[in-house]
Amino acid sequence: MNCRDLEELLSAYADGELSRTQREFIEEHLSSCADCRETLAQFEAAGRQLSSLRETQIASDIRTTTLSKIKATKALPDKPYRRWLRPVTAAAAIVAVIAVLLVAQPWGMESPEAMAASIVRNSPEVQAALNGEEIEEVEVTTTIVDEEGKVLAVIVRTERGNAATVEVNLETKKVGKIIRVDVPDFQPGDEQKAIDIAKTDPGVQELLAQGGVIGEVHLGHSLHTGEYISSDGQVRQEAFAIKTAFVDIELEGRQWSATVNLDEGRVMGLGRSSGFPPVLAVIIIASALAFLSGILIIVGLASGSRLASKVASPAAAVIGVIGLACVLFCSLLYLSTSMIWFLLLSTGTAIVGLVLGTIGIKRQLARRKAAITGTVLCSLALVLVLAVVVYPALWNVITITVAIIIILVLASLIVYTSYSQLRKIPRKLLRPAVVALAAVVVLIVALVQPWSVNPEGVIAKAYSATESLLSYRATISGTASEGDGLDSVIEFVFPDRFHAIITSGGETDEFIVVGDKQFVKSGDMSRNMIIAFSNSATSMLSKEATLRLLDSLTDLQRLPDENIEGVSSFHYKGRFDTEKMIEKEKARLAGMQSRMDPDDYQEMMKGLENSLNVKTEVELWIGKDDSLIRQVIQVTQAPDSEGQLHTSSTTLKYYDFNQPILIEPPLDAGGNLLPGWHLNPTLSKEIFFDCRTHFETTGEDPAHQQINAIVTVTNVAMEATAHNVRVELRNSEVIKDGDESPWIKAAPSNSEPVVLKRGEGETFNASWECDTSHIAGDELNELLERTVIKITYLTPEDDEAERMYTAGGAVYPSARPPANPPGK
Amino acid sequence: MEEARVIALIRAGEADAFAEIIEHYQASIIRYLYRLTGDYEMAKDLAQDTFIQAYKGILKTDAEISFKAWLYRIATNNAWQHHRRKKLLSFIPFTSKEQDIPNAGKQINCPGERLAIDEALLKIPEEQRTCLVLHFVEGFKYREIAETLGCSEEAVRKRVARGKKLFIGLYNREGGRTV
Repeated sequence: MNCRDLEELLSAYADGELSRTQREFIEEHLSSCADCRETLAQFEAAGRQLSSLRETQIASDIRTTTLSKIKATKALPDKPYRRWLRPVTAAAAIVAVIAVLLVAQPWGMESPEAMAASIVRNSPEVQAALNGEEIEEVEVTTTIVDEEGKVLAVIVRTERGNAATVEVNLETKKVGKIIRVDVPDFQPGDEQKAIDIAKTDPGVQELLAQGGVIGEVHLGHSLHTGEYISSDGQVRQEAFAIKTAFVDIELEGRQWSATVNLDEGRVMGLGRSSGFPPVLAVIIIASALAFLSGILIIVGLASGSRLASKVASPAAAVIGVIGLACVLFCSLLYLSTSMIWFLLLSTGTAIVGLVLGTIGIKRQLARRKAAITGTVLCSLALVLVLAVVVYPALWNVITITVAIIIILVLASLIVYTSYSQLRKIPRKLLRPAVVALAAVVVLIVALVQPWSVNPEGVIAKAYSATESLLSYRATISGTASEGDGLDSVIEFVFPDRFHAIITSGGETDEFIVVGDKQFVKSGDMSRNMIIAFSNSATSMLSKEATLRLLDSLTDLQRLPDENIEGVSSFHYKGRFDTEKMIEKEKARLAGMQSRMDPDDYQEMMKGLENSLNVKTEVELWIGKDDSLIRQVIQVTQAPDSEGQLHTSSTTLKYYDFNQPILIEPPLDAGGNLLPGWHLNPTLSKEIFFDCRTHFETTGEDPAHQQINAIVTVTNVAMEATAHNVRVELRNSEVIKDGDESPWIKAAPSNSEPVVLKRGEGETFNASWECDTSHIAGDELNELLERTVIKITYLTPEDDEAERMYTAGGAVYPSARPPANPPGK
Repeated sequence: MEEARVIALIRAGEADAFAEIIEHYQASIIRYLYRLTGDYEMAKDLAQDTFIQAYKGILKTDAEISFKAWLYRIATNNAWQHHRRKKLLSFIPFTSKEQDIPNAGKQINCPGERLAIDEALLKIPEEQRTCLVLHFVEGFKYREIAETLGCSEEAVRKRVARGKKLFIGLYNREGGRTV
């Protein structure tokens, strides 16, 4: 051991403050070390000199003056009842403050819902619209109509069941549009009904299969307004309310919510509800605990508890840290109703910490530094809360500043506590160490970029902003490295109205979806193509698709902010998390395996594996103020079977958020389709066949050629069963009866009538004689492939229906050649 | 003096009982504050404040430490606060020249050697000076110092050792006898 290290022990030895073992150790060392004996002598001399100061005579007597001052300050001693006065007053004051906060919501912090309700209740316009009947109930449909969130739509109901929808401007405190509406009432069994409906949804089923549990059911009305041109040519407004239920499903700590349309009995959407992140929950609990224990300590201090005075100052510091963290994490949430309570909680915590810190300083309690730290931190938290309440837009700036302050405080705390250790480091090492530390800090700051807004937070906000959208328009333009580009305009009205005009390759197709009805106006697409196209278009361009996109972005990177159509927007770049999506999709398929054809299953799995090579880069622009997506550019690179890369890019621009958009079925006043429009039945009820035909020719004489047609018909519908299936063939070249070319019937290999359930098939045979003397050998095959095959059947509703195929290759759904030609 | 009895009396409303406390502690508290501030008049004022605060404190809280340690803690905080104010004052312009000269004419007359000790002591940083004074002048054990200042005994040992080293250097420079 170095003698310098012994100085402290030598000093304590001189002062007689060492334990026996330490003393013996020092004495042994002293006997052999002259330097230390010298040091000890110096210490002893210093001690003697300092001790000589004891002899200073103090003659003053401050007794009388001090006592008179004490009496002058009127600090009257407490009588026994007075000793209880303080704690009781403190407790009463705290209870009063909490009661005031609970009963009268503080100024400016009234929730938007409560504000809207009180505006509506006091509005003469609303009274007039409801024939002066007394308003019984005001239901906020929680739909924010305005982009800035300043207008709320509410349903007002009177005792007699009259109802109207009212738009309330929270800024001007005035009511806007008032439209009379029929509001359906909820029935006692509606919650159970909602759960039953939700359970029919494949997504919900999957969640439940993974161990999800159905939680609460919330009932509400979703409100729809629109304009229409009435038969007398006037623009009228209409509104209707749909009974809606939100069924919560909890899975692995995450909340999902299925939106159920009770009127139509179907699930309209399934999304992750934006629940509290776990960190936030921890901070809320910590904050609440800090608040309560702080109050306990204050009460303890007031009643003179010894323990309370011991812990007051450290508690102030801890509460200060929690309060500040609470305020900081507030910024992860919106300024919503729950946020107000959160702000109140952090305010309360900070005030409690401030009181404790001040008492700690005033009363000379132990850990003065902790008390000062607590006071400073709590004051800072309060200033931040105040700033946010007065000027909410400060949030981002505050978040960043607070983050930097916390980092600085932590860093200086570390330096402060390790200061004595730092002094032990040899000077030579100290400087490089400081430089290295500084470099690490700079590196971390550069990596974390505390000045940039956390992209995950922005995306999460965009997700919930998109989720609550009622309507929007978007333009879509796409280009591909080969083939035609795509231009389209879509309109979307929550929950299930959709209108798209899609232009591709010079052809324009128009789709209108209202509920489960799809209307199509098309150039010359085949009927089956239309169904397929319309389905994929609606699923690709819907709100759900946007949500899915947001949910599966990864590797986000912030680019400089940009203006999109005059809206200042965050600009991010990221990529589609293909791996994650494929894993999800595989899990979904695996759940359906038992119901699928094994070959199909294998093929789909293989297809999924192949899509791992698909790379999609996404750029998106999110409005700073409203968190709504303004623009998305997607660039996809996919290899084909030969490994050749194909690039396609899509640009989506969103606008007209929550504007009144009217989407109506293309029907005339009599309910008939307008010219050019078709109504598509839903795919699930439609019957499709896979139809494959094989020909055999026998006989030596070309003039009497015997032709055999073997037609295999398989029902490939989603679920429906086809009854009484019949097959007929016609070919104007090779099936002739004189000059006529009749339909000839093919006989089933089993007994009639043929019933084909989903996935079942049947082989039909037809044979005829044909004069082929004028036809060349290879030409015959070509002619035969032109044979038209008509399948006639009874739909599940007992309607007669027919489908046409050609022998050479069915239009839909199969384009691949038969794996094993049937009939051989 | 039975501290517990006196404190009980004060709480029961006998303000005059506090006279006993003042009488018992005033000399050491004034001396202690004088050693920390180097200004006798100031030490007397601060001692008065200390006793007034202690009186109010007795009525409010059961101190978590012994009365003596608590009294010295109040005195220490007062001295340090005074020190800080004085430092602040030196930044304010237009203060009279007389006030700029610290402690002029306010020292207790004492032999030359002790003056050198005084001067050297006053130049030592306040935390270390406090520990030195509490140990050597007021006769506190390290444990008692730790209780008074609300820190660890380890820290006290360090401050005393460091303070002594500084004192030795400063005293020799002040022209005192070489030890």
